[in-house]
Amino acid sequence: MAISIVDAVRSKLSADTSCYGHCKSPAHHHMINGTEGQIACFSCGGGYVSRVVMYSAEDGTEQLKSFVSRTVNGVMEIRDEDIRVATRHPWEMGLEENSAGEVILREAYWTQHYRRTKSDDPARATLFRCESCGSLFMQPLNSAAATCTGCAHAGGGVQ
Amino acid sequence: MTCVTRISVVYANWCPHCVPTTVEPMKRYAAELGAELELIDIDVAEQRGDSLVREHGDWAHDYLIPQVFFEFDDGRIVHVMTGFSEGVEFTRRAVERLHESDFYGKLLQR
Repeated sequence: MAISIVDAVRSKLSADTSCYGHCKSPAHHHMINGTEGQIACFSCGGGYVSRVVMYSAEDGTEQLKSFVSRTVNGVMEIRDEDIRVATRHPWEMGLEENSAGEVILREAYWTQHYRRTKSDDPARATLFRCESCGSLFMQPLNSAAATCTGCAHAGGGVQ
Repeated sequence: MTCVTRISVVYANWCPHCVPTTVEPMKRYAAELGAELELIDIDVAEQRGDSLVREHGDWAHDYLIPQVFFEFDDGRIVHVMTGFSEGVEFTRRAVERLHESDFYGKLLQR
């Protein structure tokens, strides 16, 4: 991904939004470690992940589906219909001066507990972001540990 | 030189990204460009929203709305915006940025 795209994501697509499906707190944008600036999530102060987003030049549907499937480790089934896509144009990304009108970016989204996967089960398997190392991990919604197992064992986290 | 003859918005009345965030400004943009405004409600059967999105937009089984298309007098249909799953405020800003863009400005001059 070109530096200008990474910068554009940071400047145009990383503002706080509202936590979706969990609480009314703001959800913050976090790039996910090891994804070279291509995948981010929005999570609230409680670590709940509202969305995982992939930024790419081409359609990132399959890559995002694979990433989320690996991340939830089979606890949730991720289907094609759970991924939605959007094309971003130069004027949306503040890059119109340097472009010839070409598509700048494609976003692919996975939204947690949306539509098909919506559930009122308070113990439903849920994706969280570790407040210590930033990795994504699964736990029951009502567990609400702030850190992943690795960080908790290392004693670096807050329960 | 081509000009916009129609703005098509694929939307739903229950979607806050669509109404009023996108639909209301698009009414103004259509008037400004001298174009017809076509509002395509995804909840109304037998409209062309699915085919428009499949052929020219951001298609997925459960595709994002709103999606906005400009149709030109030479027959071209150009996707210009899809709602932002990040939040309604992102979509609102994108609608404004479209209006402020050089792309749009050049259309006004035609």
